[in-house]
Amino acid sequence: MSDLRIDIVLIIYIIICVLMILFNTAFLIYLRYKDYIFRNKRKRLENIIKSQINRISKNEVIDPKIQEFLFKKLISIRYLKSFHEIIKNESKKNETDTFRYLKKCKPIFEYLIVEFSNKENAKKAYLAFLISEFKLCDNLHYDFIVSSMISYTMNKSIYVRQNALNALYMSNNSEAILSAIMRMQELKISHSNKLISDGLLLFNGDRAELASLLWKEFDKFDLNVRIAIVNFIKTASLDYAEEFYQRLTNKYTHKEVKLSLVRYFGKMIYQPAGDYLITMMKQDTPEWEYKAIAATALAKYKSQQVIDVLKEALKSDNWYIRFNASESLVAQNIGYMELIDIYNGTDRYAREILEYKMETSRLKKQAKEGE
Amino acid sequence: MFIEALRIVMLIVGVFYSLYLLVYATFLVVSVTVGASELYKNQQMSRLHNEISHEYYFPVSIVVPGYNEEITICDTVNSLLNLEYKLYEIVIVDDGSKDNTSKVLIDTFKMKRVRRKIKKSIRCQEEEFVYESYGYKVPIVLIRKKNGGKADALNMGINASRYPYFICMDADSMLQHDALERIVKPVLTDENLIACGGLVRIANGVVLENGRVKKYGMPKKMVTAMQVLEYERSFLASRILFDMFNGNMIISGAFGLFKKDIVIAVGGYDHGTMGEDMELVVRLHVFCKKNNIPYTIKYEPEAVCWSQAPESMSDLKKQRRRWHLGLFQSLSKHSQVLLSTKYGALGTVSYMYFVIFELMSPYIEIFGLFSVIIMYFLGMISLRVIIMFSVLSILFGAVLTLSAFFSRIHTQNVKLSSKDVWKAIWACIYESVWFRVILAFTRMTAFIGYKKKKLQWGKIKRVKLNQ
Repeated sequence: MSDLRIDIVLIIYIIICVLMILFNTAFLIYLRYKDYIFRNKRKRLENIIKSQINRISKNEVIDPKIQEFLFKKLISIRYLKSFHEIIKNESKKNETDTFRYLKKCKPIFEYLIVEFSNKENAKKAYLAFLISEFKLCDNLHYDFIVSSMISYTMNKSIYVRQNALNALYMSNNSEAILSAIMRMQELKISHSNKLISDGLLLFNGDRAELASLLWKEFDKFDLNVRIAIVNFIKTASLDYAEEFYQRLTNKYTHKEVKLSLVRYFGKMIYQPAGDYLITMMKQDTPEWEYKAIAATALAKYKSQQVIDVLKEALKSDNWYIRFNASESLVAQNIGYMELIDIYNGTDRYAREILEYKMETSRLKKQAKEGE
Repeated sequence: MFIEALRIVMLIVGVFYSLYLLVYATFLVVSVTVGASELYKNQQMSRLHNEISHEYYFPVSIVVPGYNEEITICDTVNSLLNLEYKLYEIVIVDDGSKDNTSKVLIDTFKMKRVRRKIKKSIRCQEEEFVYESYGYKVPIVLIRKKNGGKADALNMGINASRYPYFICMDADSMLQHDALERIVKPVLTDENLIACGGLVRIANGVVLENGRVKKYGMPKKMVTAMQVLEYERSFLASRILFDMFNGNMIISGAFGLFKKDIVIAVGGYDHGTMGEDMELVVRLHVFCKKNNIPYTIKYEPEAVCWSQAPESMSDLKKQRRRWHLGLFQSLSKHSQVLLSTKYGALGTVSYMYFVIFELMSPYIEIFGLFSVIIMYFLGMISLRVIIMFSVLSILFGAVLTLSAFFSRIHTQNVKLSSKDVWKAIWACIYESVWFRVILAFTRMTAFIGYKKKKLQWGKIKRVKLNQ
C-alpha cells in the first residue's frame, strides 16, 4: 500500500526536522565556543591596537611587526569585526589619534580589497562599510581605495554600492563621487534617488564644488539622478537660483525635475521664480501637480499678488491645491480682514479648509509654547 | 457488491491522501528549511552591515482602526509614540465604538476638536468628528465615524493620511521600537515595492518596555502557547518561501506597509470581505499584472509587531471562522488567478497552496479521519498501521513546528527558560494531537451564519497590553 511509503517519507522528514533542530543547537554551541576561544585572541588584538595608538599619540613610529600581524589576521571576518569594535571604542576615547592610526592602516585595507575581490558580496559590503567608517578614501590624484570603491558602486548588491558610496561621501573627493555616479549611469544601475540625494549631503568636502561638478554634467544623467541632484542642492541650501530658474522656464525640462525645481524655490526665495510661480498658478492646465506644489512654494513669497492667487486657489476643484494654498495663506500670517471674503463667501470648501488650517496652526503654536 | 464498490472508492481515497500528505509534508519541510536558512542569511548580512541605514527615510502615516478598544488603545498609541523613527503621524479611526474609545484618547492625549473635512479618495462612511493633537513627538489624529466595519475604518484612515506610504495595524497591537524603520527599508532597496508585510508575533507572555522586549516567555495558557508556535511556523514557512517569487498573498492586517496611491487606485479595502487584508493584497497583484505595472509585494521578517492572541477557545474559534470566511471570499473573488499563466507562480504555487492546504484542508483532514475509520471496518487497514501512522503524523507536525520555532528563537537571540522549552515541546505535541482537529472543525463550520456577520468586527476579549 502506498501509505507505507508515505510512512517512510514522513520518517525521513522527521529526521530532517530533528537534524535541523540539532544543527541549530550545535551551531549555536559552536559559535559560543568559538567566541569563548576567541576571547584571548581579541584581548591580544585590543592590546596591540592600543599600543599602536599609544605610539601614534607619542609621535613614535608604529611597530611594523604588529602591522604585519594585522595584514595576516584581518582577512578573517572574526578578526576584522573585532578590529572594528576595538577601533570604535578607542575612537570614543581618543578620536584624533585613532584616526591617525587608521591612516597608517591604509595599506592593510588595500590588501584586504585585493583579498576580498573573490569573496561574496556580503563581505565586500562590510569592507566598504569599514572604509566608510574609518574615512579611508583620500582626495589624491590616484588612490587605490577610492578607485576600488568606485568599482564597488557597480556591484549588483545594493549594500555594496551604498556602503561604497558612503565611503566616497566620507572623503572630500568630489571628482570620485561624480565618477561613481557617472559610471553607475553608464551601466544603467538603478539606485534610489533618495539614497543618492541624502547620501550627497553626507559629503565631507566642499558641497558647492560637488554641486558645481554635478551641475556641469546634469544633462548626462537620467531623470532619477537629476531629481537627486536638485534635491541635494535644495537641502544643502546652495544658490542655484538663476540656473534653476532657466531650467524651470524651459519647456523641455521633464515634469518631475520641474516639480523638484519648484520645491527648491519654495525654500530659496528668488523673485523672478516667485513671479513665474504666480503665473503658473493662474494658468489653466490639467496638470494640477504644478499648481499644488507652487501653492506650497509661494508660502515664503510675501506680496498682495501672492495672497490673491492663493485665495483664488482655495476655490480650486482640486483638493490638493486647496489644501496647499490654505497652508501657505496661513503661513503668510495675514489678518482676519484680509480673508473675510473667504470666511463670508459662498464657497464652503474654501472656507472649511482655511478654518481648519487656521485651527491647526493655532494648535501647533500652543503645543510649541507648552514645551 | 456495495462493499466492493466502497473498497474501490476507499482505495482511491487512500491514494489521494497519500499524495496529499506527500505534497503537504514536502512543502512544509522545504518551506521551513528555506525560511530558516533565509533568516540565518539575513542575520549574517545584518551583522556585516549589509543594510541600508538612514537618518531620514520618508514620512509614513500609521492608520489604527478600532472598535470598542478603550482598554488597549492608549497603550497602543503610547507604544507608537516610542518608535525610533523621525517622520510619521498616527491616525486613529474610531469606527462608531459603543464604549469610550474616543473619550479616553481625547482625555489622555489632550486632543482638540478641529473642523476638518476628510477628502474621500476611497468610499467610506462619513466622519462624526475629528480631534487632533500636536503636543507630542508626532501629530495624533482621531477620527470618529459611523460604524461601517474594519475595511471602512481603514479606508477612512487612508483618506485622512497625509503621507505617500501608510501602515495599517490593529488597535490591540504594539510595534517593536525599530519596526517602522525595518518595514520601510525595503522601499529604498526596491523602487517597485508597493506593499510590505511585517512579522506578527504574539504579545501574550512578553513584556515590552519602550518597544523593546524585556522578558520573553511562553504564555501561561496552553491555547495561547499553541498559537505562538502556530504563528512562528506559518510566518517562517510559507511567507519567506513565497517572497522568493513575489507570491505572497497575505499581509496581515495587524502590521503592513502600503503605497497609498496604488491602494487608492484599486479602490482601497473591500467593505464586503471579512479577510479585507488578504483581499487587498490579491487585488493589488491582479491590478498590477493586468496593467503591466512592475511591482513587488514583500515580507520583512525583521519588522516585528506584537499582537494579542485570543486567550479562550471560544474567542479563538470566532477569530478562525472569520479568517476562513475571509480566505474563501478573497480566493473566490479572484479565482481568475488560479493556474493562469499570466500570474506565473502566484497562480500555480501560492493560489494553489491557499486553495488546497488552507481553504480545503479542514474538509480534507476531517474527511480523512472518517475514511480511516471506514477503511478499518472494511479491513483495509490494521489498527497497528493506524496507530503507527497517527504517531508519525503527530511526531512530524510537532517536530516541524519545533524546528521552525527554535530557528526563530536562535536567529532572534532570545533566551528561553528550560521551563518554556519544555512547554514549547509539550504545546507542539498538544497542537498536533487535538488543536489542529478542533480548528479544522471550526473552520469547516465557518459558513454557518456567514451573511449575518458580514460587516461585524471580529472581537476577542481585550486585556491591558504588556501585563
